[in-house]
Amino acid sequence: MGKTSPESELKQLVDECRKGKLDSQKELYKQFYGYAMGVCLRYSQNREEAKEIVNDGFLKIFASIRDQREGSSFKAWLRRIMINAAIDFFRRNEKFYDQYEISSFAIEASVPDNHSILSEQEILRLVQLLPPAYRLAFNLYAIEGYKHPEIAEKLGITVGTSKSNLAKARNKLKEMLYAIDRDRFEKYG
Amino acid sequence: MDENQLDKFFRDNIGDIEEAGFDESAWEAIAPVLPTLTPRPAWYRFWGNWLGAGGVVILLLMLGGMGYLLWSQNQQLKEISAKLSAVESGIPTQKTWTDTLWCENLVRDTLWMTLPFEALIHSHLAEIPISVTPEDTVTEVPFYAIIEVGSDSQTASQIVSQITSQTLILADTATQVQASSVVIVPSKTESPKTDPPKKQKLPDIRLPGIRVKAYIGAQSILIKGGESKVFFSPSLESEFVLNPRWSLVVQPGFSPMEYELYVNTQQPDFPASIQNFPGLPPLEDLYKLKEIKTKGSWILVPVSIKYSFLPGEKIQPFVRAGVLGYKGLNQEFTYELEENGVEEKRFASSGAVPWTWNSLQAAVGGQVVMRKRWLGTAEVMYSPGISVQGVEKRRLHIVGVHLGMGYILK
Repeated sequence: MGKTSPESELKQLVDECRKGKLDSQKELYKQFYGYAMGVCLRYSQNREEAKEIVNDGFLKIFASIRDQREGSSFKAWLRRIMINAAIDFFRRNEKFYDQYEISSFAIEASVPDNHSILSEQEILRLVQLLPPAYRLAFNLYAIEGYKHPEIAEKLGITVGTSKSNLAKARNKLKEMLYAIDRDRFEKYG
Repeated sequence: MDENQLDKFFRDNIGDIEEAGFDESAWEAIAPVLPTLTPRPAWYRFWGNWLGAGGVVILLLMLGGMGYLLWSQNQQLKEISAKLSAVESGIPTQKTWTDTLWCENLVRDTLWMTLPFEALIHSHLAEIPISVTPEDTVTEVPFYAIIEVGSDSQTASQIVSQITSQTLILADTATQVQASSVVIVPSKTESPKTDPPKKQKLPDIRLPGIRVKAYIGAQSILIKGGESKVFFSPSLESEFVLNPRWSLVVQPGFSPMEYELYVNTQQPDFPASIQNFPGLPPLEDLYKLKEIKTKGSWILVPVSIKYSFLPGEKIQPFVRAGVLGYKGLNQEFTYELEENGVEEKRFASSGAVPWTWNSLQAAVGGQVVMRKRWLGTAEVMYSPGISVQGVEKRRLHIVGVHLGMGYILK
């Protein structure tokens, strides 16, 4: 009896999710929860917000899982949906973000005293500290590789605003990084 | 360090991070919704994006259809009026069976139509979520209530066009005070006390629960001719959401009515129910009837069961069916006859109309969900005539449009 490959196992799982089987949906959720959280944490300001985006994304996934083309990468499809869920979340809450500004208190409270080594979580925290519009522009451009016209279309803003938000995000990140961990940061320079 | 290096720093460090473990409570938060989250059927996947546009097209077609019906009925009535005039000017006292038939047709086939249009401005004053949290958990929400207090200011122009050439223009302004509450059934979400307190979030409107809204409306109606009347019409809208698909809708209300119907042989204009007016002259003398006034109050209790298709989707079609119960309170009728050139006023009162539950209501429509709230509703309803309604609302300060029209066969 031959072993089934992870790909065929995933395919079977997705097929069962297409039929609306709750056990399979839970299994799929369980398998990709960590990956989805990894994506969504970058787009949110805290864990609770990320969880909400993950669940919004999974609801979309289960509702439209029949649209997922067989043969294409499920993980890439899931990532796109999570990013779109994050964009939707941003739009829904946009009006509450108007006066968002990073305070020095927020930076100090969020990073450890020992600045010599920044962990993955601490670097993530820096991105989370960005104002939401800047964070979104930075993630879409620098991490996901979208171009400004694509970002502008997705967010309903102008290309100029997208560029401006990215520049401001970079400046904020530089400021925070220089303030916290100059040594480690310098090796990239 | 230039921009590319900065981007690379973050891409390298957090571009592909993956959380270890799995949060059971996060799963439990969406698990109850999943059984109702039917994967989109093939037709929806194909047509789903066009549903919104399709709805608008259908609405426009219906508006066109209604307009045509109005026009054709007016044409028909002009013919009837002309024939009745001819009958009256010929042999007014000796009616033939043909003349009587005309009268009967008038009584039976009277149709009327309303084309209301309302511009609605709603200022939403407050929405207060209340959750009760047991001592041993932080986030469990066994009871969730939202109290909304708001006020509606509506300005509506309503055109009531009966199939006669008479048209009443009602300038209708209403102010409503609205108080609504939502009670959501217990959630089983639990998390350890060490978790940070969660932000209060509005519960999903589709979750099971009871939603009650109370309206107190004051309407000032200006009837053509300069007469103005003010009515108070309170109603209570209750929706018992049994699950995301099924709900029971009960909307008891009180409706004071006072209107006048002018009837004469030159311009007949009356609904079929006139036949049942106490003291009404026999049918053959109907052409002598000059004026009827009716006044009364009604208690209306529409009860219906609603079933939503595709409850997980942004656009959710639904069907609704039920009955309209009503009771008339102290109905009064006044009518006036003119015979041999002499006007004779008569008065009759029918007293209370007993409870009646035989009026079927059925509706099909669609609801649009945004931010876990209803953004808009459009429905076509039979009750017992046909009406089309559309409401679009935006929170927190709602500026919307309520478009409705009806076609009622008496």
